[in-house]
Parts: sequence; C-alpha cells; structure tokens
Amino acid sequence: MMFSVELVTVLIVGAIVLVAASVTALLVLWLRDAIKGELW
Amino acid sequence: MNAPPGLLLAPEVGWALLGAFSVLWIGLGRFWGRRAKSLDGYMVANRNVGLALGTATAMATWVTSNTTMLAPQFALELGVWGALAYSTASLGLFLFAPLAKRIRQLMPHGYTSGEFIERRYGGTAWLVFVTLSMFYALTWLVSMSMAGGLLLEALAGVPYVYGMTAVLAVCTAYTVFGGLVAVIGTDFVQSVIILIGLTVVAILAVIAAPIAEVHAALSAERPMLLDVLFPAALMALFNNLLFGLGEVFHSNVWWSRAFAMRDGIGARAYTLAGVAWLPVPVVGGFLGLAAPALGIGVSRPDMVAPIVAGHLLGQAGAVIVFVIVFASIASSIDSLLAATSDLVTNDIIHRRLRRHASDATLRRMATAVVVGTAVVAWVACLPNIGNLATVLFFAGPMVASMIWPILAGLYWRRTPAWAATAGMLAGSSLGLLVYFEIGWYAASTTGAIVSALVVIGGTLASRERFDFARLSDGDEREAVA
Repeated sequence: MMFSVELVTVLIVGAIVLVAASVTALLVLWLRDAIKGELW
Repeated sequence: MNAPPGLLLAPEVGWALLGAFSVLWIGLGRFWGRRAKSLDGYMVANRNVGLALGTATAMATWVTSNTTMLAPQFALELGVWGALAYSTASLGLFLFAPLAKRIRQLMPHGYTSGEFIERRYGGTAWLVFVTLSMFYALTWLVSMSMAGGLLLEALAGVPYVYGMTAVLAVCTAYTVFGGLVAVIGTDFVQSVIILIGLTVVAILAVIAAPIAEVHAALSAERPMLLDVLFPAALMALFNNLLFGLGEVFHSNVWWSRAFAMRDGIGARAYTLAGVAWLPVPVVGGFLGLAAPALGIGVSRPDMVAPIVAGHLLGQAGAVIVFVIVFASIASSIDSLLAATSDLVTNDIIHRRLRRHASDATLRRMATAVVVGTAVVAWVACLPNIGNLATVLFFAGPMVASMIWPILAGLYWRRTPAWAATAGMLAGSSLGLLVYFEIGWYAASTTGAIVSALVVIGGTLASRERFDFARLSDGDEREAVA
C-alpha cells in the first residue's frame, strides 16, 4: 500500500501553511506582549 | 559571485554570511545581557519570561540542525514515514507542557533537572542521572557543532575545522555575555528566521519540483519511500517519538526554561511551541523526498537539504538554507551551553563544592563553565567522526531510560529511589546493547520499555510516600547563598 499523491500533497502543503501560520502567530504574540510590557 | 565547481556558494559568501550573523548574534547577546547581571538573570532569565519569548525559545531550541538536516535525510532514506517519524518528536514539547507547570509549582525557586532528581531520589540517582544527562548534552552539542562545520564545508568549501570553530565560538561568545537572557532573546529572532526561511524555501521548492511529479518519480523509481508499511520507517517512528520524549523530559535545557517562564506561562508556551514545531520536519523532509525524483546524486545523506535547495534554487536557495541551518544550530548550541553551565554551576559547584559562594562568584563560575563546555565540545568535534545520525542516536537509549524516573518522580509519591536508579541503568544498558546488536532505530524504544518496567514494578511494590513539599524545602536559602 502506498501513500497517495493526494495524501502527500495534503501533508506537504498543510505543513507549509502551518509553518507560515506559526511565524505569524509568534509575531502577533510578541507585539501583544510588548504592548502589555510582558515580554520579560 | 559564482561558486566554484562542486560548491553551492563561493567561500567568500560563506564567510560573509557567517560574519554578518555572528555580529548580529553577539550584538544582540550583549544588548540583552544587560538583564543578566544577577545569578538568577544569568541562569533562569529572572523567572519572568512571557508567552511570546517562551514559545519561541522552546520552538527554536527544538529546531536543531538535526531537524533541518536529519529530517530530510530521514525522508531520503525512509520516505514519507521518515519525515512523519521525525515530526513525532514534537510530542516531547506537547507532553512537557503539563510537566513545565508542575515543575514551576513544585520548585518555584529551582534551577536544574539534576537538583530535582537529587531532592526526589537522592545522591546515587543524581550521579547516574547527571552522568547520562551530561553525556547526552555533550553528544547533542558535538553533533550540532559538527553540523556547523559540515554545512560550511559542503556549501562554501570552508575547511571543516575553521567553520566548526567559528560557529562554536560565536555561540559561546553571546552566551557568555548574557546567559539564558541572551539565549532566549536570540532564540526569538532565530525562530522567526527559521520559520520564514522554511516557508520561502518550501514554496520555491514545490514550484520547482511539483509534488505530483515527485510522487510519480518516486512511485516509478523508489516506491519503498511511499510504502505505508515500510518496516524500518515504522520502527524509526516509535524510536524517534521515545527519543524525543526522553530528550525533553530530562534535559536541563527544557527544565531551565520551565523555571525561567513567568508563573502560568509554561504549559501554554510549550504547547504552542509543539504546534509550531510539528510541521517543520515535514517541510524539510520534502527536500529529501525530492532528491531521488530529481535524479540528484547525494554522496552525503546528511547534506541532502542544502544540496537539493542549491540544485533547485541556485545560490539563493543555498543562502536561505545556510541561514536557516545556522539559526537552528545557534539556537540549540547556545541553549545547551547555558543549560549545561547551570547544571555544573548549581549541582556540582554550588551544592557540593562551594555551598557558601556568593551570587557574584557563582555568576563568574557559570561564565567559565560555558567556556569550558565549549572547549570540551570543540575537542570532541575535531576528528569529525561518523555522520550526524550516528552521533545523535547513540545517546537515544540513555535519554529514553530517563522518561519514567522523571514522570514518576513528578507525579507518584510511591516511586522509590532504587527503582529510578535501576530503571536508568537497566534501560541504558539494554538499549545500548540493542543499538549495537540490532540498530539505532530500536535502541530508544528498548531503553524506554525496560526503564518503564523497572520503575512501574518498583512503584507498585513500594510502600514509600514521598512528601512533594521536600522539593521546595529551603529553596530560597540554598539558591541565594
């Protein structure tokens, strides 16, 4: 049994989207903490 | 500037990138180091780190050069399951989240994982734990310093020893200046660089080598890489999962961050870090999967990511991969230097040799230990032995054997000291036996199972009732001598 092309596509594209979303979330969190004075 | 034949970057470009990022990391380390004048600042970042920096430091530290270079190697050799197997290491971050909360509650003034083992199980268990943990830390440090040297050599022809020395020296410099504060600060910048770089290189790679074409080529030429029931890959999955758990649960790299995060932050930060880390090996793994499909000959599998990126994207791809891997190497080497220094300074120097040393004295000693640890790693890196997987996975059974002693020690009153000690020793011994007789892919699993049997069996047979309040007894008095 093989990984189908659809499944591999979902895995790779899903992973790329999640990485992009993570960096966005990290920057938003940083901004929020900086505004609230809660970075350190 | 064109790269000489056989190289992806001109040596001048490699040195220029190394120089530019070295100046950046050392500058930032000095800037944030102003917050690390006290011992608490240097060792646990004043115990007030917020959610953004806490999440980023956990994520960036766990994205090591092994993630960005070994995950593609896993995919190249073990296929789709190889990349997924590497992703299971994110469970270490997810499952450490509740532990981070409990550690902060039980030891609000604690410094190290070794200190916990000693208070919970006593001196013998501490000795075994610290021996295994220090060996693992050095192995991790060596594998990443080696990766730095190998990367510079493979990409830009910089001689291995020069590149390895430069990478290690830069990380040591900014860790010396600012301790954990500098480490956490630079980790944030490094995590942003890693995630943005990965997104860019992955999108460009998918455009250059469409997934359907890669899949078709693999189906025709190397179908095993797409096999849902690839036995070696499935064994690697469990092995990697348990290796990852063992690494995170025991290592002072993660405990020091649990102590450093503000009350109520640890569990959320580790969970978010797990979410951010989960897709990274899959994205990196695509480069490994694309190699056979593109007909790229890979002489060193641990270099497959930069080779494929350079092939697909030219000099720009090689530069992006260089920056990603350098950031991931730096974010882990600095953490290891700081955490190992804490372990030696707190557990050995403060608690055994100089109980009445002042904060200022210990702060100076911690700095010296950072430099000493780097020198030991540098010497171990010089011979350039083995590939990255060999170096790293040798420590697998040892760290996996520490999962249960840590878990049981944090949550179960009945677990006796002898079971924890015997669990670590038996798990490590049998795991190493399997490592040599069968292979690395079954060693961590063996270490974890044997240790679990000993610890759980010992707990069930025990009548002990440990008082968890003892973990924080005299905490402040001891911490601030």
